[in-house]
Amino acid sequence: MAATNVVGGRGDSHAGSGWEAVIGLEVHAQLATRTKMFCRCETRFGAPPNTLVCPVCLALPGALPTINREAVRHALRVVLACGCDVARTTKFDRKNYFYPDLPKGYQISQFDQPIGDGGRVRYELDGEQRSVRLARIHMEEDAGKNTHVAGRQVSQVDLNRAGVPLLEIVTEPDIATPADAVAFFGALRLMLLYLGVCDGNMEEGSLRCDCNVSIRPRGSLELGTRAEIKNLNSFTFIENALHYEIVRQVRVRESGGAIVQETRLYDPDRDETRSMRGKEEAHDYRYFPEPDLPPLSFSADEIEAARASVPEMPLERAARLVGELGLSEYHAGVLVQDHEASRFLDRCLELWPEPKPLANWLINDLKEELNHRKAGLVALGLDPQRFVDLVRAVDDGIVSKQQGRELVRKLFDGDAPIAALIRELGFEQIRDDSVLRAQIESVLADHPGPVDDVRAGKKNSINFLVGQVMRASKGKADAARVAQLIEEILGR
Amino acid sequence: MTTSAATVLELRDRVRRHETTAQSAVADALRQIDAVDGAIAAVGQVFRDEALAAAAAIDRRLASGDAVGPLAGVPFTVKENIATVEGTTSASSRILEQHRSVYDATAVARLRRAGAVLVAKTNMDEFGMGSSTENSAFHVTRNPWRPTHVPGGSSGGAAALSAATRGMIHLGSDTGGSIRQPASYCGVTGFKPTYGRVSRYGLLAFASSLDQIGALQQSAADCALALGAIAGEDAMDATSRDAEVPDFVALLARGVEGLRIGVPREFFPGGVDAEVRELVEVAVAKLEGLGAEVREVSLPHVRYANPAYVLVSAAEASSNLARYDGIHCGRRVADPADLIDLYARSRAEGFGAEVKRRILIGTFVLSSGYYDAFYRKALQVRSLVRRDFERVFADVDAVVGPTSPVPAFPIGERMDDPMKLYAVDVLTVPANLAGLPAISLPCGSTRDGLPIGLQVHGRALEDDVVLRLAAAYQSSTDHHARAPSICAWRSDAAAGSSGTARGRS
Amino acid sequence: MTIDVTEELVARVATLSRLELSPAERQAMLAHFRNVLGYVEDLQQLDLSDVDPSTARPDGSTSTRADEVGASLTNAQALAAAGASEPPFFVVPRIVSDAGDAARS
Repeated sequence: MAATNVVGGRGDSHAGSGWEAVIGLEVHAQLATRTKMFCRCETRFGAPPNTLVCPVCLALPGALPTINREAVRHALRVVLACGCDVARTTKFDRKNYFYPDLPKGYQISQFDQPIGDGGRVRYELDGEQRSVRLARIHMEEDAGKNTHVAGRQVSQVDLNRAGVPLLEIVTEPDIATPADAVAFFGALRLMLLYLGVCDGNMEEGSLRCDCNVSIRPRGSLELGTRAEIKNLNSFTFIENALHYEIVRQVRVRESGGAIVQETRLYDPDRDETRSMRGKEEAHDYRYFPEPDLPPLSFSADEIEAARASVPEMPLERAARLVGELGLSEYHAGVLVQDHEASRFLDRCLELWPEPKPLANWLINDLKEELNHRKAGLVALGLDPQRFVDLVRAVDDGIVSKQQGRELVRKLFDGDAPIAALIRELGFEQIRDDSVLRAQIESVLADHPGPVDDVRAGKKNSINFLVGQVMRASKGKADAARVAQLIEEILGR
Repeated sequence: MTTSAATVLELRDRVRRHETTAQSAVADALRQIDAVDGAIAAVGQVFRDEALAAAAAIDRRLASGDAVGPLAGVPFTVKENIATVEGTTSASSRILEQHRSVYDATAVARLRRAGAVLVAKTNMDEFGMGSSTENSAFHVTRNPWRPTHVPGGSSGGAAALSAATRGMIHLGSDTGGSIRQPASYCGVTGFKPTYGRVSRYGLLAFASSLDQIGALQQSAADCALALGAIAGEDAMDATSRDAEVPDFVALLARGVEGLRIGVPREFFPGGVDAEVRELVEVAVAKLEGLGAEVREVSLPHVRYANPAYVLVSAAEASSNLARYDGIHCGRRVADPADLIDLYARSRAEGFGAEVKRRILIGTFVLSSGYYDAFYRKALQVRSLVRRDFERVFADVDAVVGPTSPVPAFPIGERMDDPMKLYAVDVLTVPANLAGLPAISLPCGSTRDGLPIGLQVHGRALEDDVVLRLAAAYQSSTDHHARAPSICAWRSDAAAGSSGTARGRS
Repeated sequence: MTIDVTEELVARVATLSRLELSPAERQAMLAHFRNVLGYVEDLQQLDLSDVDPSTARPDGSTSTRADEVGASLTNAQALAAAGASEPPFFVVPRIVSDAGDAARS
């Protein structure tokens, strides 16, 4: 697209094009509670249609909502973790409109007294620390699902999702590029995972995002007219949709047109945003305070208890892994991104406080094995003690690195203690010098060329010889000792 | 004395003492309904078989000495807007004409747990909107004192049935006077509890911040009995209050000695009938004679209560009735052109004229640009009304006045102009706005024989004070014991046309 | 606040309320709106500057519920109240406008 060259790439704030983008995000996170926001139906994903419903979420005559305490607690912790002001009194409001997936004809949401106000989320992009201010955080309930039936003039409605607790997190228009949007969104998602309030599963719709996008002449302080892109549920979609939209808006403006304030949907198949069809009904939601739910107030004690229950957040953890535990920034970064791995490392550290070898094996070999098995740490139920034992076995020289790798592969085939596995596989390293010397002599005899190379000063040939000894010993030889002995024997 | 002349308290005791059976009590209730309903049309549905079966089960338990509830064998009726698993729950609206509830309202479940037996559902103004029961989509209920006249509304069916029969509990609902006003027109005692005293779960919502379930009975004592069975916090209703439920019947004995009664001048505006004023003044004098201290008080903002009520109730109703959409419940048009048509025509065909008026007013009042001028303002006025009562209740324990400015009026007289019907609510809406307990009890009749009601308000959660004041008045007067002309419980009173009651069973 | 009650206003409110009105009903509603607005006009004269819009229950207590699963309806029960359905779904004429998706913010 020629326009791409004009306005730059996705991480570009369109310098040189004369335009800058202004982006704000509205993130919807399904709270990981057992039951819905206002009734006791389960929130399970994937149940048969219209089986997780009751008079309340089905909006049958006479039914009334009741507030899920755990959802409020989750919301409060997010509010605190993001540094928002907590509303001492918060209340629900009705947002009135008609739609088949909204059986009450209104959504219970929050309008003018949301649970959280202000706040900030930090993220990293290209090694730089950035942040986005939050406008507000509020609680609401999700709607059901409409499905259009191909070839027929009907739509089908499933209300299982109606009433699932949602947290809406709204940013100020502080985001300048699609790459920033993605990085921010990733950082926010990670925070929600760390808090345990949302499972972050975008395919299942646990986390989705709407973007408000406008452009303005570079350096201008006024905001341009914005378009809203709704319901983006993957990082790629967010980035692509934003990029497309910015380019589109620049094109429109540069050809003398004006941006229409409208709602658009992103079509991933064609990689474009499109205006939503249908009558543009002016939205008059007629918000008013929900009379069925008294306002909620939080005591200072409750707020403190919630604050105390906020665990270490990703950025703090990364700083601690580098600062206190001496991990490299790279290792810290990788670990922090993987919430499960992060928690697992903590548990291992409780058993053996040696972060470097643990982190190393965790990030490299263990992860590789998990990828191979297409499963996560929690799903496979790995006992931290066994992992610690494995890493220590290598660290203490009981087994070689290579043997360590094989042990990793065998880790999930049962729950035998590492010591037993080592014995079973016959993995104890050969350290006995006399045994080693015998193997070395044999290899040296077989490889006179490299022996001459070593004597001639080619250091690398030692590695080759060590490798041959390792092969001959089926990996059991203590490689470091073998190298020392070869040097001794060959007098180098 | 036959079962049918008994108060509910007496009936309850007789069943306990094995002097009569549950089946006998239920059969008698059914007989009375059959005897009068042809003439007054108070009832929409009768559950003959279910009721007799439930009564038989209770009798078996009584015979074998098994535990039964405190109201074992007592028949009860509920208004058509209270959810029951039997029959339909229609709120007397075409939009819910076929609607069967999958659950019982909490108040119903509690009565059943207490051993009471559901026998019928009573007619009402559609969705509670009206003051005469003329807005029922199905039929008009007639006042048993004068069948050409309205029984009041919206709990007109309950009030009429309560007046014409004995030995049953009748649950109604009150949003702007819908228990008290029909009670006054039908010469019965109608009690609206403190807002939040009784669970609203299963009460089809009209105005959520105003609605309450209450009882219409022969006496305050029977109201106390009913209240005791249904009151109490409910986990299914977040607006229900965590307040202890005392023995309301036992508390009646405290009497009125030393109670301070306030009579607000604003409860006697120009529109109050001269006869109403006279009878209420006599009743207040009676209370003074019983030992209460009476003084004049002022509730200056009460004159704004009805306009505020009109706005608040319409706004909440417009939202509460949005769920009747033809999709997941309620009447659905057969061949909708599109989704909008499905909504617009299902609702247009299902709702009556008054309901549509209120939905439209309510939507308007909440809409963009008008919210502050109307809805928000009405909520502020509500605060003022509440403050007026609080100030007055610093010096008195009860606030007393007439229930309605006029007695029952002829059927059709006020139907040409909705504003005329709104006008009869002026004295009852303040209690709903302020969330206070209030009762209407008969204090005499006009010269041409129409009952008049005395209204008593109490502080929030002092339902017992209101009931005991009413009970004291009733223990030295007999207005509440008089029989209407259509009556099933006085052998010398003319019964209505005989035959089985109308409606589905 | 004087409001010009016009047919257009009534029509707009009827659309928002999803109520189809006949021409006669629309006319009658015009009159009714004017009557109600007249009836509530008195409220305009009140000085409400220091008055909080009230909530129904001013005692400040809060009821919330524990996050424990309760019984749900069966699919048959869920669909029983609907005038028409295609089990296991509720069914409506095809939704053309994505008004709902737009409304969900």
